Amino acid sequence: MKNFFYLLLANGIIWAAIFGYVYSLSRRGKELDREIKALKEQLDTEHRGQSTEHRA
Amino acid sequence: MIFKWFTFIIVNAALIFIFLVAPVERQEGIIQKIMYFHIPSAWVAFFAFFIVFIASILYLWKKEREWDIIAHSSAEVGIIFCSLVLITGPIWAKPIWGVWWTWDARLTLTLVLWLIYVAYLMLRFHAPEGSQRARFSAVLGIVGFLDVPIVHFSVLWWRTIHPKPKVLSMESPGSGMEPVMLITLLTSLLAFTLIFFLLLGQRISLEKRRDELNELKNKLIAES
Repeated sequence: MKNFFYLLLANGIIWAAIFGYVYSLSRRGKELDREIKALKEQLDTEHRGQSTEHRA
Repeated sequence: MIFKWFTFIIVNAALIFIFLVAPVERQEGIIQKIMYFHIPSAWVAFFAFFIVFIASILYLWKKEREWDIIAHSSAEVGIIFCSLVLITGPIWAKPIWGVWWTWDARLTLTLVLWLIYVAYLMLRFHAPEGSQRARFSAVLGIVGFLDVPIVHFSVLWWRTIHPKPKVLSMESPGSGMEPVMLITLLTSLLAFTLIFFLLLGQRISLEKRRDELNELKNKLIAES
């Protein structure tokens, strides 16, 4: 049992790395979603502006 | 969602097997249980790099962005698991060999493999986006994979202190292992493989969203 610490250390590092990567993926995904939403809104606004100009 | 729950169940089953069911090995003691994390990490890293290899070939052949995305995503996930191999190995080696690291053939070649795919990701990160980057990356992804079989067979070709393969041994699979230990190892292999596919799926989805963002940016530039 004297090496139990090493086993726990390996186990801890494995899960920390996997969950850390999942967190990083989710953070990057949210950032991209936010940017996509903002760009889509900007495009919509421009389209609406253009159609108003045409009507005028 | 069902796949996520299935993975969750298998991962928990693997942990129960590792910590509560698998017997403590007589010679090495409890430290041998690191093998249940180390071997699956190595398997997943090799498998991920195999996917990079296949996807890179398919990209060069078909020139479809989809294969480039798969190769890139698989390389990134593979690097995570290859890093875990290089971390868990020394944690096992310290109490068994008395040193964290030795320039043994298997260890050195695994480090070389890690460096190859770090170079692959650096190439992707620094080169400007486009078909040229995808082409260069694909070539590196194919050439880099040649190190994988060398890493695997290094313990048979050269005199090394690294333990010989157990599951993929030249004799019967799992030779020299108690059945409970073999079941634990196989459960852990399955758990890590499922985790790999979950991470790969998420990483591919991220890359597709990045493409969508670039498309929108180009559209906005074209319209303004």
